[in-house]
Order: sequence, then C-alpha cells, then structure tokens
Amino acid sequence: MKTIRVCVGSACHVNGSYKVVQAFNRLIDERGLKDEVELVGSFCMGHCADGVSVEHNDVIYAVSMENVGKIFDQIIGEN
Amino acid sequence: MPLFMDIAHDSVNKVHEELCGDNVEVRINDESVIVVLADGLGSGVKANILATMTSTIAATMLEEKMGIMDVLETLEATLPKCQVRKLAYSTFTIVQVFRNRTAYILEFDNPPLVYIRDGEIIELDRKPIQFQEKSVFETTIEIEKDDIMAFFSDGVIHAGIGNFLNFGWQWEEASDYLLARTYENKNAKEISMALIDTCYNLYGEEPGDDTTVVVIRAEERKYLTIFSGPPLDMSKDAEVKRLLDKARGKKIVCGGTAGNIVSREYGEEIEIDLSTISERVPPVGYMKSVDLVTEGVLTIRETVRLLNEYKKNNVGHEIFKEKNGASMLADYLINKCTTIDIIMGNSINPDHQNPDFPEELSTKWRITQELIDLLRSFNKEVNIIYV
Repeated sequence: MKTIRVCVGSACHVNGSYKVVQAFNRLIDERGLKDEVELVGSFCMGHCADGVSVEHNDVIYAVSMENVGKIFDQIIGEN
Repeated sequence: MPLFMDIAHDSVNKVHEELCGDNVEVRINDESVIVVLADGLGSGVKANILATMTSTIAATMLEEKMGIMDVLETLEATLPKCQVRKLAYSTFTIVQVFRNRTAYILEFDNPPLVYIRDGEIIELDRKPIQFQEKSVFETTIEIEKDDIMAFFSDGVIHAGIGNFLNFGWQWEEASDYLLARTYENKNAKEISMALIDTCYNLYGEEPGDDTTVVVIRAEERKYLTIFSGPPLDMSKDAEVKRLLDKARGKKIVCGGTAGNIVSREYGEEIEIDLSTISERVPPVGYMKSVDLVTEGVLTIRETVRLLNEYKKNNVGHEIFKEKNGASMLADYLINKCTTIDIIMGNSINPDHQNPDFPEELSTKWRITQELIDLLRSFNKEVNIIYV
C-alpha cells in the first residue's frame, strides 16, 4: 500500500489542491489501483511557494495540473 | 451563572420611506442587558428622530443607573413637540435583564410584550405608573432559562389593514404566531425575521407603517474555543496546549499550521476527510482532542461570506448543512454556541507574503477581525486571547 499525501493548506489549495486531488482520484480509478494507493490530505508541509505539495516516502513533489500524471507514474513506478 | 440573552430585531419601513420611525437600542454590560424599542409619532425623519432620541436617552440613563422616573421626566422635557399633534410622543418598551436574572419591563403604549414560558404565553403582573397623563406599565419578573420575550411596534398588529385583512392582524394572532415559531426551536434572529417577513407579506409588500420586532431569548451559555494562527514566538506553542486544555466547550482549530502545532503538542494525528474538499474551501480534519480542524484564511473568508449572506437574508438555514469547512464552522459559530473565545497568534506565514500569491492569503488577520465583528453583530460574546 502506497500513501500519497496531498497538502490542502491555504497556499496549496489556492494553487489547485482541489484539482490535483480530483486528478489523483481519477488516475487511481482508471488504473484500478484502489487497493494499492491511499490518497490522504495533510495540512501545511512548509513548501508553500512551490505549487501543490505532494509527499510520498518523505519526498515532496511540487505538483501542477501539467505534471500530475508524470508524478503519479513516478510514485507508482518506484519500488 | 447569568443567563445569556439572545437578542435580535428586524424592521421594515413604511412604504416609500427611507428612514424607519422605530428604533431599537441594545446595551450590554457587566451588570445588565438593556433593550429599548421606541416608535416615534408619524413616519419618516421626524419619527426617526423621536424614536432615536427616546431609545438612546432611555438606554443611556438606565445604563448609568438612573431611576425610571428620572428617565420619564427627561424624555418628557427633551423630546421635541410634534407640530401637528402638539405632543412630545414616542411609544416605547424597555427591557432590562440583570445578572441575577431579574427582568424589569417598562411599557408605554406599544402593543403588550409577549412573554413565553414553557410553551405558553404568560400574563404579566403589570403595575401602572403615571406619565404624561398616561399610564406606563411596570413589570418585574424572575427570568428563567428558555424564556422568550417578544415586543413590537404597532406596525405589526396593523399589518394587512385594508389589504388582506380588514382590521389587520390582532395582537392575539401575532402572539400566537410568535408562540408557534418558538415550538420550532428557532433562535431569536429566526423568530424576528419570520415575524417581519409575515408582516411584510400581509401588507402586500407595501407596509402602511414602520414595523419592528424585538425578540429576546434567555439561554444557558454555550462555549466554543477557536485556536486561529500560531504564536509569533514559537516557544509559546506549549502555552497553546495549556490554553486549549482549560478551554471551555467545543474546540476548533482554524489553520493548517495551527493544526500541525496542536497535533504535535498533543501527539495526535490529524485525519483529513478529503470528501469535504471543495473548489472554494480545503477539507476539514479531525483529531481526538479537538472537535474540528479546518484550514485558516480561505475557510474563514468563505464563512464570512456565508454569514454575510445569511445576515442579509439572501440565504437560509441550508448554509449550515453543507459538508465543507466553511459551512461546518458557520454552524458551530451561529447555532452551537453563545460565547466564543478566540486564541489568536500573530505569526505570519512568510510564504503567504509572496507578491506572486493572491492577495487573499496575506489577509488572515483582517478577515478574522471581520469575522469577529460579524459574530458580534449576531449577538455572540467574543473574547480574544492573544498568544
């Protein structure tokens, strides 16, 4: 089970957390990964200036609607 | 423990009038709560001045502990005489509730106050005193929890005259209407709004007189504590836990970083409920030691917007039922407490000051002030504790 944490603090929400959460949920649905990936929220991760903060295995990614698919693949692909 | 007085009043002006000829003055201090409703003779500017003077003089003098006879004499000597009717005249109702739960009611020519206790309208033991060759009625009563007092200008009982009802709405009908609203467990604002709306409709949306109602509901105090914004001095984070530990009533944390501090100090995880995310507001979270965790500035901003709409009567009770942070916060603030303690830190998130960021992020302090003013206008007691 992989856990993806999406920051839903003020700055990240303004930067598009809502759409990123929707995008992740859609990707998880499309690929039938419901049992393998858990999507959770988190308040401020302290990286407010870099787009929507997404954390997996202590790595923080700056996610936008442009790179959300790529970063999802990266997280799913690594092991 | 003194009871909390939930007070609300609403008015509609006589058709084509810009000013209301009724005025309500509310004074709240450590000793008592004073509410005065005055209905000036006539309508428009003259009536407005008479009503404003009467209610302000009465409220100020009572606040300064002057006797009731002094108040009446001052009114008589001060009010300008109406040129048309050669009278210095404004009818009024005064209610003063003291900390020891004694209520003092003084009525002069307004329709009788409706006193509701245990689901019934009770008869008051009114004692007449003389003033301007007219009788003023004085009542002293021990107030109890859940008692409701409603009083109104004669515009209420004239509603519908010559329109939908030949002789208007009688006092009995207006008071039955109020009684029925109290069975619906409504708060003071909802009751007063309901009555005013009904009068406005009975008048066919063209009121023949200024129409004002005041509703006072005695309640047990219910507390809510909000921790909003981290302390400027990080070493004070432990102080926040101490404050929250001894906080009264329900506890809410507003702010992501504030939430993280509480989570760390209590050693508890925040569980975020992603299903409550919406385009406007980030989702809420839960942890064991507090009742709700929300994001800060965006949620508060949306709550302020909702409450402003609610206050203007543009939206109804449905705004409290949505499953998002702002709606849930609004519900706690308006429906689940009388008294709010806000623990407010002055720390500013340096990232939020980035000029590339939207302005709304840098204004948490201002928007919180706006929320506090709004809550006070809803008659909530708000205390601020700076950390």
